[in-house]
Amino acid sequence: MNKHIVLNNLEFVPANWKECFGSGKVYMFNPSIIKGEEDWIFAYRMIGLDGLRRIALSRLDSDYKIKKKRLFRSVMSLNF
Amino acid sequence: MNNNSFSERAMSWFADPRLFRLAGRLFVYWNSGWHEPFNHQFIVELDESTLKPIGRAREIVLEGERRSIEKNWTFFGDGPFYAIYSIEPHCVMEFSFEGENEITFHPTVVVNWNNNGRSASYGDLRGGAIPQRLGNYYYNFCHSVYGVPGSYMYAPAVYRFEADYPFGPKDVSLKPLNLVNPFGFNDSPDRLNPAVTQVLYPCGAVFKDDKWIISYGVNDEYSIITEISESEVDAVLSPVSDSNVQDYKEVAVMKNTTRSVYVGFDFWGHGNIGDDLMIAGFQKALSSYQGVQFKTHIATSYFMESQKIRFPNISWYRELPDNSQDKAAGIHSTWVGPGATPFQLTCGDYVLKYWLEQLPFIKTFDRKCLVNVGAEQEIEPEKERFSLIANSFDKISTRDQHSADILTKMLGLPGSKVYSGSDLANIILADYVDKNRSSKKKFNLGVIIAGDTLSDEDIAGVKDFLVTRWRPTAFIAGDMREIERHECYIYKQMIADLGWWTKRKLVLSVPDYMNGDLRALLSPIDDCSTIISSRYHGLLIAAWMGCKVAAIARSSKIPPLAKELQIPVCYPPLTVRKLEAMQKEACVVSRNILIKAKAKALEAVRFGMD
Repeated sequence: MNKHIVLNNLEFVPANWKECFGSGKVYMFNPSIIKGEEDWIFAYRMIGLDGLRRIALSRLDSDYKIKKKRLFRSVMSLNF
Repeated sequence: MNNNSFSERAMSWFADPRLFRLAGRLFVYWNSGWHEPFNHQFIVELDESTLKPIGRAREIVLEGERRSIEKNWTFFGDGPFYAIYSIEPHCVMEFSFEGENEITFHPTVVVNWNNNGRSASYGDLRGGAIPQRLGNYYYNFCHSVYGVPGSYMYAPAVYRFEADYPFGPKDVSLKPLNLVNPFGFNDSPDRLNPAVTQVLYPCGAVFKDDKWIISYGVNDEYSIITEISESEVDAVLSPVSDSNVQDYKEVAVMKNTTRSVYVGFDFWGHGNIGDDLMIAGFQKALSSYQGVQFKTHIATSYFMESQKIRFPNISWYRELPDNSQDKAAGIHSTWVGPGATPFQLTCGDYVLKYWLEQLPFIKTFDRKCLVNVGAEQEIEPEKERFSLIANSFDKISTRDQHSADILTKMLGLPGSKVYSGSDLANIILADYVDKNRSSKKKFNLGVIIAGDTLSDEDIAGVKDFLVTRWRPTAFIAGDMREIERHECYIYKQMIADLGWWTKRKLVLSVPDYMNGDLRALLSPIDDCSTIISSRYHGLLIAAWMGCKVAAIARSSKIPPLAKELQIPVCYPPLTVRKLEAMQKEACVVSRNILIKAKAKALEAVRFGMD
C-alpha cells in the first residue's frame, strides 16, 4: 500500500469559520495541491452546518501537516 | 465585470478548486456547481506569500456553444497557454490573460483517440488534477464514472499526452489507479450526492523526487494525500492507438461568412420520420456555429408541403439548383449528404445508381462531405464502386464505429478522412426529451416492424407474438406510406384474418406526417411504455422518450446501435419466444449514453463541415 495521509477535517476549518460551522459534521474534500517555495499550498472544498459551499487555502509542511490557515474569502472579499 | 452580471448562486457557491501556475504566476480555478440555466467557472490570481486574491475573479468562457454545466477544465503550457476541455475526445483550447474581464477560450485542436476499451468498463475520462509536464509529455491524473444511478463509482485514472501540438494522448491506464479508500463505500441516505457510492477524485498532482504526490477527495467528505512512485505510475500506462486530428485553426477562415449548403439525396419528405429527424438534427447543428450563416437548399420529389411546415427556414426545390450563383457571388458552397445510409445495397442498387449519376455534379462544389452517415456490411459485392464514391468526398463522418470501420477497412479511406460520430437525430431529440412528454402512457407495448428485409416467416412470428398479448398494443408506423412490406401494409395484412376482439387490441398508430410538427412525429412512440423496433430511428426516439427499448436486428446497422444504447437485440428468424424475451428484457437507456451520443453527433457534423 502506498504512503497516504488522511487529513483531519476539523483541523482545516479556518478560525473565522468555526462559529458558522459549529460542532456539526465538517466536509473537507476534493483537494488541490501545488509546490510552494518552502512548503505545499493546499486548496479544498469545505461544507459545514450552514450548508454553504466554500473553498479554503492553507499551507502544509513537508509531512503534509497544516502550517497556517488562510481563508479563501468568499462573496464579500472577492471582486467579480 | 461587475457584481450585477452574476447570479447570487454564482458568487456564493465555490466548488472543486484547482491550484495551478502559468508563467510563474499562481492561480486558483473553481466552478459554481450544478445550477440552472448554466454554471460559471472562474479563475483568480493569488499572491503567493499571502494567498490573497490579486485583482478580480475572471469568468472563463468557451468560444462557441457551451454545455449547461462546464467543469474540469485543466490548464497547461508555458505560453501560449492551453486548457483541456475534454479528454475523450482530447479537445484542447488556447487562451491568454489579456484584458481585465472574462477570458475566452478558443477551441484549437481535437484528437480522437482509442482508449483500448477502457470506456466500456469504466466510462469516459474526465478532468481532475492540473497536467504536469515530465519530459516530452504531460501526465494528467483524472477520473471516470461508471455504474448506475444510486451506485455510481469513480475510477481514478492517469494518461499522458504529448507536450507539443496537437497534444495527442500517448498512454492511458486501462484499470482504475490504486488510490486508497479507508472509508469504503458511502451508501448513507444523507450523503451529498445520492447517485454515487464511491468517489475517488484526484484534484492535485505534483512530481517530486521520483514520485507523484496526489491529492484526492473521497466520497465528497474527506481528503487524502498519497505518494506513488514514478515507476508504479508508468507501469499502469498502456499505449493508445487510432488517433486522428481535427485542427480548429483551419475553421477560423470560415468564420463571419455565409455558406451555402446543398443537401444531397432525393428521399426527403417521402414519409419516413427518421429522415425528418436527421434534417432537423443537421439544421440544429448548423445553427450552433457562431459567426457563420448557413443557407440550406434541399430538393424533394415527395411531400414538399410537409417539409415546409417542419423546416420553414430551408429553401425547398423539386430539383436541386447548381451553385453557379454562389460562385459568381464568391460564396463558399458545400454539397453535403446528411445522415441516412448511403453505403448500402439492402434496398437494392438504387443508391449506387444515384451516386454514379450525381458524382459529376457533386464535384463542382467547394467542399463535399457526408456527415453522420451509415454504411452496411452488405455493400461488399460492390466495394470497388463504393470506394470510388467514398473517395470523392473531403471528409466523411459516420453515425457509428461499425460504419467508420467499413469505410476505412473495406473501402480503404484513410483514417484522417473519417470520424466516428453518432446519428443526427440525437441532436434534435435532446430538445424534446423533457418537453411535452406523455405523462400517461396509452399503451404498455408498441412495436415498429419495417419488413423490407424480414421474411414472411418473421412477419408471421411477430403476428403470433402480438395476438397473444393481453393488453392493447400499438402497431406504430415509422413510415406512413402504404407500400409493400412497410408498417401500414403489414398491419392490414396482419389483421385481415383476425377476430374482432384481437383486431381491437392491435391498434395502428400513424404520426401526422403531412401536417404535424416534429413533436407530432414522436407522439406514437411516446405513447408507449415499451418499444420493440426494427427501425433504427424508432429505437433512438424510444430511447430519448424514456421508454423501455429492445431491438430487432433487421439489418447490420441495428446491432451496433443496440450495443451503443446497451439494449437487448434479437435476430431473425423471429419467434414468439424471442419477442417475449425482448419485451421482458427491454430497458430504459441511460441519459448519459444519450447525452454522449448527442455530443458525438455534433462533433461529427463539425468534422465533416469544417
